[in-house]
Amino acid sequence: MTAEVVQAINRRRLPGDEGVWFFIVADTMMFAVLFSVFIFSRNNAVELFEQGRMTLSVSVGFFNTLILLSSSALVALAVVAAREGSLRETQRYLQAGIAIGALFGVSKLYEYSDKVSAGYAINTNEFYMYYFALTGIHFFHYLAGMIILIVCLVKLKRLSGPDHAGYQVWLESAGCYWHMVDLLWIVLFPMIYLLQVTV
Amino acid sequence: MIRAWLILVAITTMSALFVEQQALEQITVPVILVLALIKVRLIFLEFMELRTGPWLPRLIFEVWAVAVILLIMGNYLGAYSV
Repeated sequence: MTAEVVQAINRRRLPGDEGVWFFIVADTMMFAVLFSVFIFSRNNAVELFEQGRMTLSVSVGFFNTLILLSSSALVALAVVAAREGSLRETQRYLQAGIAIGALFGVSKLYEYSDKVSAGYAINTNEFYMYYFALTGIHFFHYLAGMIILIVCLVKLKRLSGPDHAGYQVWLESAGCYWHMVDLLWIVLFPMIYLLQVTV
Repeated sequence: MIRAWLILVAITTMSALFVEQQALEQITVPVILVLALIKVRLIFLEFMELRTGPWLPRLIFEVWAVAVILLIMGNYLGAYSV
């Protein structure tokens, strides 16, 4: 093994705190179980799930996807800017990421209120139970992510002195959690909203 | 990072257009899920920086993504025969 390869291996590091990564892996595993429960339940009531799916707004779902992707990208740019020591850029990217991320909450609340006013609730049928439960659990993860990003922004404004290593770990951990929220939505959205039965 | 975001937006737009194409119904499910798999990989490789990270978390996410997408695809394709 050449010295360059050894150096490259040593350089490989996980962004953020290892404990946060443990949580992220555990959480994604929990969602894998939830996805499995959804699709196996769907197998037993394909028509009911298809009827339920057709009542959902696909365009709102696509809009939500673009929001989360854009917010994630901005937070990733904030992490890069912080690494380069540009705290002003970090703040700008973080503010933009939070502002765009907030649109997901507005859009989701609009979607829930639209469904409730149309007479759909968690106890309407099995499809709607899963729809509200899965998107609701994801929504709580989203809310936690928004709070964590806002805390990062507040901590950034209070930073003083040249040593930002501690803040960097905070921001990287928050960023990875936020990307996980994005990643879970990327699977959740087609599974619930898009995949139709074409018998 | 911006390149990854542009690709993700392009794939999402492609998915939206694909869903609109009623004539392509027969292959919609596999295509949508393969596009979702590409997006998930881009997020954990680029945004979560696992492309340059240690091998174990990357392996966990690679296996997770493929397993989840195959599970969903198997179920939805199986539904054709219901």
